[in-house]
Amino acid sequence: MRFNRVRRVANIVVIALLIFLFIVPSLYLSRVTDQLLAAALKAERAAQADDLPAARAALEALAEVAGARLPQCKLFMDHATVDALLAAAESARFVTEREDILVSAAAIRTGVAELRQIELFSFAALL
Amino acid sequence: MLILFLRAALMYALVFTVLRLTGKRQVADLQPFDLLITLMVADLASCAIGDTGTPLVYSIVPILALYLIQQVVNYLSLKSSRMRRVFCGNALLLVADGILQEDTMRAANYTVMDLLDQLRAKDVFDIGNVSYAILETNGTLSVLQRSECQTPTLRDLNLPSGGGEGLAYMLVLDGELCKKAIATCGVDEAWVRSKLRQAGVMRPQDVFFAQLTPDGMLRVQTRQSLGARQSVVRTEVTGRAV
Repeated sequence: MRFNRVRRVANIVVIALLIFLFIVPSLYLSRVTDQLLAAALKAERAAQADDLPAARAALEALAEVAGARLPQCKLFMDHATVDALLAAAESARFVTEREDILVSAAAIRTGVAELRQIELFSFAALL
Repeated sequence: MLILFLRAALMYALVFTVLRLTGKRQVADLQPFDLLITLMVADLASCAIGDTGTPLVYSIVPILALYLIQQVVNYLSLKSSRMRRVFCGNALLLVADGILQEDTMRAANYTVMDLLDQLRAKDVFDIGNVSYAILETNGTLSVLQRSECQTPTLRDLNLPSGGGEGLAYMLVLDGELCKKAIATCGVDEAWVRSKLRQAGVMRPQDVFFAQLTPDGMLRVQTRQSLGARQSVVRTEVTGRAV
C-alpha cells in the first residue's frame, strides 16, 4: 500500500535528519569553541607574561572568530546564551589593562564551557 | 511578526505531517501511548512558536524523537501480542453474564457510577439489561445487552432481507467527478453525465453531490445557487463488490 511506503520513506528521512542533527551541530560547536578557547588561553598567557600587545591581538582575533562563526550557533542553541558569549567576545576587543584582559579571557572560557554543556552530551546535562 | 507567523506555519506543517503519518484515528480511539505522544507533540510545537529566542530545532528534534518512538512502539505492538499487552494493557470484563465483577472494577479504578455513566452513553439505562460489558484498552466500554433487550434483526423476525448490500459511492462531489468511485462502480464518465441529464442537470459542475446506492438509485442534489434541488434516478447498476 502506498501509504506504508510513504511512511517507511518518512521514517528513513527522520532517522537521517536526527543523525545529521546529532553530529553536525556538535562538530561545528566543538570547532568554534576550540578556536575561541585557544584564543582566550593565548590572551591569558600573554597577559600573564606582561605582553599586552600580544594579549590584545589574541582578543581581537577571538572577537573576529566569534563575530564570524558564533551567530550560526543560534540555529541550534539558545539565543540568549550565544548572545551573551558574543557580547563578552566583542567587549574583550576594547580592554587594555592586564587585569581586564585576564577577566575577559576568564569570562569567555566560562561562556564557552556553558555552550559546550548545553550542546555536547554529558550525564549531568541529561539529568 | 513575520517570524512568528512563519514559525507557526512551519510547526503546523511539521505536527500535521507527524500526526498524519501516525495514522487515522479519532482522539477517543487512541491508545494511552498514542494520546501521550499527541499531547507532548502539541506542547513541544507551541513552545517553539511563541519563543523566538529558542531555535526551532529545540522542538523539531523532540517531536521527531517522539514520532520515532511511537513508530517503534506500534511496530512492536503489531509483531508481538505480549508487547501489545505491555504497552496497551488488556481489555477488562466488567460485567459477566449480568454480574458486576467487583475485583476487576477495583483493578480498573472503575466505580459503579462510572459504569452507569458509560452505559447511559450507550443508551442503556438499566444495568439489568447488560449481559457483558468490556472496558477496552482505549477506555471505551463495549456493551452486549441481554438478547431480550436487543434490537431484533430481520433474521429474528423471519423477514427476507431487501438485498442491496454494498457501499454507496459518491460519483460527483462538490462539482467534480470522482474518477476512482466511478471506476469502482463499473461505469464511466459518459454514463454519469447521461444519468445527470436524466435528473435534469446539464453539467457535473452544477451538482453538489451525486450518490449511487447499492440498490441502483442515483440521488442527485444541485448546488444552492440552482435551488439545492434533490432528485432520484433509477439506474441499472446494482450489487457492486467492494
